[in-house]
Amino acid sequence: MKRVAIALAIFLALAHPRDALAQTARDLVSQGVRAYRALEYDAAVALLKRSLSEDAVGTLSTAERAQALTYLGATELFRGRRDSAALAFSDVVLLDPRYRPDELIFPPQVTNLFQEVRQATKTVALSVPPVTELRARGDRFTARVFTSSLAEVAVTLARDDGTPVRELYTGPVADSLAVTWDGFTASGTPVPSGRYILRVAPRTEAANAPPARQVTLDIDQRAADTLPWPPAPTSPALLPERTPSGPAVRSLAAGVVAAAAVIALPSIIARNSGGNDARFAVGAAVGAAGVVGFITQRPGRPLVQNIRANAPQRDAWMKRVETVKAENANRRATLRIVIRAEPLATAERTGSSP
Amino acid sequence: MSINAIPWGSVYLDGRPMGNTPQLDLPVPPGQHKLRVERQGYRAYERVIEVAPGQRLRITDITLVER
Repeated sequence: MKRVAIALAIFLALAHPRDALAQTARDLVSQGVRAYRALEYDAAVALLKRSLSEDAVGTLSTAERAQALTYLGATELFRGRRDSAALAFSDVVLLDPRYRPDELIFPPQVTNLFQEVRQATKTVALSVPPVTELRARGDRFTARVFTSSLAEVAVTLARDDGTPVRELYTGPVADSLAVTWDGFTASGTPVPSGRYILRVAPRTEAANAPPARQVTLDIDQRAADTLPWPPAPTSPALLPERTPSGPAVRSLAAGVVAAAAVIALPSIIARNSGGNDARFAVGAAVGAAGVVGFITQRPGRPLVQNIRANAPQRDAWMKRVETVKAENANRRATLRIVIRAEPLATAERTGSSP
Repeated sequence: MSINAIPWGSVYLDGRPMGNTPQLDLPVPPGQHKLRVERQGYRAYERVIEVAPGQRLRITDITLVER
């Protein structure tokens, strides 16, 4: 059974080496924390250092690495190695300037040293939402800048080829600052779609200045979706507004047929009887009656009552059309921008603003 | 004697303050002693311990419970 379990573990490790490595690194952190709590400081240092070794780079999250480094620093402090403790805490600050040791777990001697190191370690960090969708002039994209101690910084936006687009903030940051952007360039035009670099850089050339941090933003300018026109009202919802052609045609046809019958039938049924002239007069009269019927019921005449009854429905539709027309004009005039952020990166120092 | 607690607390031995946890290799004379670990807002941990000559005592699993 044990062999099967070992074989399964090896198979899983080979199948998902990165997952296995991450699991191992996490296990090492957990074991290191347990050793710290059990006051087995030598074992704790060894385990925590192994969890943070080069093999485990990238397998632990930032929070997990910060936790491991904090326990390592605390352990080194209680072993009487203050410099090693300060070094570990300095790595925590560089990793995440926002991180603070848990004050329930770590006593004041640890948190005080951490605070000292934090003040002495200059670093900046940048945090942006993974996806932001905004309508320019309305919504704003927000980036957060963090510093471990008071620092003068410049937050800039540039195209990925380095062409400056806009300076978003220049000045001091004591702890954190929200920097917003409306989607426009310095000259007030909307930024075209493309890749941009948002960068926070310290405004100093000092050798111990923190490195600049930057994030690539994939900006996509999108045309707004317009609304469809509302369907026009049709029958049976609407009453007919013109007279139909059926009754008029029927009157005319009946008159013509009857006239033809009056003229033709006497010749067929009683060929030698008199009164032939009279039948033409009667046929003409019957035909004329058909024509009169057609004229009085002619098709396409407006039906005033029905038109009045339909008016409220027609007005409501016209209002809906006007509303949609106004909304679509508004949507066409409003710019829609989708901003996708790539993972954060540490920028080369050569580009930092003086 | 070595002592640790979560969250950290102040250690008293026979009523005398010994500092905050963790405490590693705190020298304690042989005999019976009253150990107390306390922290504001938490119920204090109290225990009578018997230390033999040359004994190394470790109490590292103390968990202080909120009041």
